[in-house]
Amino acid sequence: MVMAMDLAHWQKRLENHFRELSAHRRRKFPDRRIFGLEHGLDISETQALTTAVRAHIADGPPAWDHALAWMVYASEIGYRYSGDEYWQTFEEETPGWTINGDRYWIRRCFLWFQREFRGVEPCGIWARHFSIICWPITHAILPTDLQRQLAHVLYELRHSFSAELFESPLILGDLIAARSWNATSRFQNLAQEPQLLGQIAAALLLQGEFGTDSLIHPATLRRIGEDLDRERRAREWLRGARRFARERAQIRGLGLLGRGTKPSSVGHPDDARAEVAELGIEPRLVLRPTDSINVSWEVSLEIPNLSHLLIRFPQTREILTGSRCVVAGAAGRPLARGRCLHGAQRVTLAQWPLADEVLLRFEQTDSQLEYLLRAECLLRPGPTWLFRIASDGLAYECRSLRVRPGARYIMVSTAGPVRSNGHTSPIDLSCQGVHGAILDLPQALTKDWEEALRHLGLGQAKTIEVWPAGLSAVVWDGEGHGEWLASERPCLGIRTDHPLASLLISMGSNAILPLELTPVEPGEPIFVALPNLPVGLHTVHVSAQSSLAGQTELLGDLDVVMRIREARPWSPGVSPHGPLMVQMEPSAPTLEQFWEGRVEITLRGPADRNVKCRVSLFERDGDVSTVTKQLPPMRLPVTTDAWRAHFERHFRKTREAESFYDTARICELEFAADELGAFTVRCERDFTPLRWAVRRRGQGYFVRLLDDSGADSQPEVKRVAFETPCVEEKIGLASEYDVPESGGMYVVRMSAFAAAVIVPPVIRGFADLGCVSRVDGGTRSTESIIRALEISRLWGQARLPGDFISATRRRGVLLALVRHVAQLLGGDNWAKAEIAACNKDAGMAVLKDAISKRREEIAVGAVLARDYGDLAITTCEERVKRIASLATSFHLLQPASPVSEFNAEWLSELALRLASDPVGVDVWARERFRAGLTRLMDAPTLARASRFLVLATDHHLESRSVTGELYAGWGWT
Amino acid sequence: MRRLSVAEVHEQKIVELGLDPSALDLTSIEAIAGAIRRTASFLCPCAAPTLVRGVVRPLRGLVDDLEAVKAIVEDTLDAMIAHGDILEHRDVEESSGHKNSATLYAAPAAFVTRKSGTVILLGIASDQLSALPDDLDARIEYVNHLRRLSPTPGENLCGDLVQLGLIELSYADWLRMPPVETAEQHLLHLDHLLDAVQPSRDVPGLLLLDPERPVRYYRGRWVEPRSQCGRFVARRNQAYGAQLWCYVQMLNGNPERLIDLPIAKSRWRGCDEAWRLQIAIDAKRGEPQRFRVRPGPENTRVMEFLSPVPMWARRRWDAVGEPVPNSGCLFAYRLAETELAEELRFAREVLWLDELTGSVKQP
Repeated sequence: MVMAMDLAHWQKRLENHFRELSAHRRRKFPDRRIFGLEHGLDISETQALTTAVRAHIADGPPAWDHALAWMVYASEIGYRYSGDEYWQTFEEETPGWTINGDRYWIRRCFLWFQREFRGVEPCGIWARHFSIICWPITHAILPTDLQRQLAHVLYELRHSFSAELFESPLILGDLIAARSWNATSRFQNLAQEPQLLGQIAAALLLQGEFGTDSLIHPATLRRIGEDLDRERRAREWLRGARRFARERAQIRGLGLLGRGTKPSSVGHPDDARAEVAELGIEPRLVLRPTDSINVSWEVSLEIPNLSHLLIRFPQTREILTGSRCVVAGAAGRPLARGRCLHGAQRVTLAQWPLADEVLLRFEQTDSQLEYLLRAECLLRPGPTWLFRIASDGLAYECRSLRVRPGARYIMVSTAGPVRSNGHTSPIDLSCQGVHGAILDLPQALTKDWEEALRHLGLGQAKTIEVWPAGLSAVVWDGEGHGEWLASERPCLGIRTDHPLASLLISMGSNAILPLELTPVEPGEPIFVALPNLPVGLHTVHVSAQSSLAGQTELLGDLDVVMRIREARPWSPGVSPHGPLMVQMEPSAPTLEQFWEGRVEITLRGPADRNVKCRVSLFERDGDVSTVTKQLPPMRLPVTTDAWRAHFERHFRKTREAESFYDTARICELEFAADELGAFTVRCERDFTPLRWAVRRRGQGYFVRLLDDSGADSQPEVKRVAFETPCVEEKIGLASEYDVPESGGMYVVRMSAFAAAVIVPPVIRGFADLGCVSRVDGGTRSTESIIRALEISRLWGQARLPGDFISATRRRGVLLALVRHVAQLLGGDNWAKAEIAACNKDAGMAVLKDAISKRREEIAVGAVLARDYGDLAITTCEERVKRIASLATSFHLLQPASPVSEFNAEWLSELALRLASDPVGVDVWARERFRAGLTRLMDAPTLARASRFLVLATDHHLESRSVTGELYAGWGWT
Repeated sequence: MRRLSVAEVHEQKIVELGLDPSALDLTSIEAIAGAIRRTASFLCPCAAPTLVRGVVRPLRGLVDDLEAVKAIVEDTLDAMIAHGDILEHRDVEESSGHKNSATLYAAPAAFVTRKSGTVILLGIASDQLSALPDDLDARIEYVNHLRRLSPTPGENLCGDLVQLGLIELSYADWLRMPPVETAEQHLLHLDHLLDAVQPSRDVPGLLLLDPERPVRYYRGRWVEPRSQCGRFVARRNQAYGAQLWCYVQMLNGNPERLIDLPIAKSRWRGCDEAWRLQIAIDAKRGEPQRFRVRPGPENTRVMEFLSPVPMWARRRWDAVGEPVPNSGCLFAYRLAETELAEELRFAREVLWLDELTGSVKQP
């Protein structure tokens, strides 16, 4: 039992403690700061301090004399923080705070602590946006909900540890930040402070040993460690990482700060290219037979996991995680965002890539990434490629043009058919631009065969054969290139087909002595164990020597290239090796994105097997769910549209979900397909500095404004009615607003921040369901269109509460706005035609006639009216191509200057996007947005044709749009 | 860097597999199963020959008879697929265009709890040999391809495994099997399906399972079409991957009608359905497939099987017994005496097998 002390005594005690701690740390590590959580109090003392703080604030405002006690109190709440409302928790746990307290005052306490005691100062974008709560959360060191994630990342990185790394917290922090690309947004915030993250990680790993005793106060470190121990998986991860850390903290020169793991910038081009070569991101060509007699083959490209690239070059992260990947020669859609980071992918090629064509191209690439990809992601130089047919029937690309007797190969050439009298059999490749033939080599090569091979430009493989012995390598090409895990000790088998005086095996490192084996009998396998090799690229050099008349002669040599990589820690859920495949874009969706159908989710697996889904809503992390529902099973495969319809029907539209969504902060979806696998998706509310919360009060609603920005300026609040979506009505600043029965949108803006929320009307009868949104005319100009699109974006991105009426009302507003944009682009007559089409059975015919009256363009409408049924069941990409071809054929675009950045396809896509889903068009068009609109204003027939296709497709699909679509069939990705 | 003897390679790699080098070498079933799991964690999804090659090729120079080891690897892989460590499904990759290819997938790390409380571990962890922490890993009991874990007194083993992220499969779901029916009913059902299909044309690479050949030597029953008439379990070639299983009606050695196995929407593999169908065919002919029972150590009996059975039957015996080395049979399970009566009933009534009595010589 701790004796009750008043706050002045606590203050004194904390002051003494922090002064001593600060001085000690400065002596040991001049560049490291101290944290508020390092208060040195045990559980009962912390509880006593808490009681004293609460007692004080209940009676009056906080006093400056107690600043340290308050700073510790706020840090303790930060330690339990899990992304929910910090101040709400603070106020609930601190009765009297709302009357007597002041959050700016809390910040002043931390600022004083930072200056006076060399406390940590939060930094990064997150700290700028959340300028007050960043203090208590940063000073909480590692809030409980982030501990598990850090343990996981440290376990993943365990093979990269070294003494040098632990001495450089910034590099360790950078490494952790790079590795946590798929962690939660909260963890990403923590990773914005790599120096602190590295300090915390080193302390957790080494627990005071190896000179790290002063990184974090021992009692605080013990406390975090004990909290981590509560969850078994986290405990095991940290335990595993610590074991490696202790071993490696004593070893210098593992090369981990050099070529191994240090995140690099694209500095010197040659260095960067050399590093990329070490990563093993070179795609591999694979041929697969498509008939049972091996005459027809398809070509595919196997793309390795690119997550290594991201770790080594953190600046590529935004592109690798947020941009789709176009594979050279592939016929289908680009690979989804982030897909290349989740394991190897195999993509069928319809066209053989050009010699200098980079095989992987990201839609939003930059010159640095392109430069890096150019190092490893090109085809091997042609015009001939060799593939060895393996026992599984597939043919894998060889690195050289050397063959072995007794094996089967496919030769592929871009220089015409492969011909050799009687030695090759031609095959059909379903890939344009190449020819192929099979070579079936006999066990012993005759002179004829040797001549044929020479004629084909092929050589015979070396007589030294090397293979991974005992257990397979992760990757082995059969000749001399392979990949091993850092956790294993590679062992090689070596065999020659003729007697040798000696075999010399070396690794080009002074630390590893060469091994000379003598004599070597032909056909006799020799096994060699290599030392444990650090992560990176290594070469084993094997030299064969003969001894003739006492003279040693080099007969030949072979380089075995070994890439050593870290083992990826096992995590529950689906893996690229299992039968259940899940694709989700974005990979870590927010609750709002998920709820509003802005997430693409597809599940693939054995056809017709069931997958079950249980949905739960939580108000706080760790709480019992407020609602949990087992949805009916779905049959695999599940498409995005099928999932959205299923979720909407069985959960989103249910009364329970509508009731609990508004107060929910987390939505958890647990998918399970028996032995095929299971995985969990967790979506948390978007956490922005300014945001709205919607709550019910009786029949109606009220909205609460939450401001965590900590900015000094006052936010501006406006209300917009559904009937007049472009007219904002300014209202006074308050923390809560009672919403009128007509509902509407509330918008708050402050410096760079803005947030909007849509509140439904109170529905008392059938008449309340209807609403007509009016959008005023405006002159036909680029500015008017941009204004309409800005308003569309505000409505489109406004937070929606759980009820369905809000979504319906928003859709009505967006439809009015898109009609308005169509009028600005297509003209008043077109707008009239749209109205007329609504009221007539033959609406499509009316619209078709309105596309253009000009003689040379009149066929555009006829073609589209004929084709829209077929186009309705294709993809948006196909429709773009069709509109673009019409634009070109009928000269719908004004002649562009020779250096114009716009082509018909891009402008057609712009027109179709504007006509179908204007929200986010500006983000898609980026810097070409304004000029593109201006260009489109000059091509009204193209705009009208595009709008026609949108409406006709919707009509053909009976307006069955899924969540997130304004018009059926127009879900852009 | 140093030279290793063959024995040293065996020892080093057995240790890397987390097994006991004093008791096992790389040719033991336990090590082969471990190597298959490890290789599958890199190579899956892949075809069975790819996985077999990945395990067998590193053994060059380390074993006397590589072909014999390859046969053991194939048998062990079959047992592991039946058991649930590895899953066999038609290719689920939509872009591949090879939906008929039987493809192997690494099952996610999971477990089943037996009535005794002992846990059977299933599945494969990427890049790792085990999804378990070291302390639990050290307690795993390896019996041929099985991995078992018994709880210590007071330990909530299932709770711990769930907390570690392993999927708990229900015992009933794991042992799920088709509805019980007679051999005649089963055959009638398949015959109706075959009656309903359109006549087939040429079928490349057809091999028939000849019912006339001795039921006790499964591998010797496969024949090429000559002049056969009637209905047969068969296999046929496809563009890529393993042969497809089918049920075919022949007239003078030519296929007339054919259905591929598994039939649509079945959860079983083609071979499971084919083997069950052949058991039904043999039972109806009055030449049922056989098993025999011999005494085992310490109040146990060993059931020996001469022909393959569907995976759901092998899973059942994985659960109630344990696989033992087979000698003169295709596979064998040791069972407690107390379990025998129930398993004999299962073999006779559900699998339509007949017990062979007296000494038998392998043909």
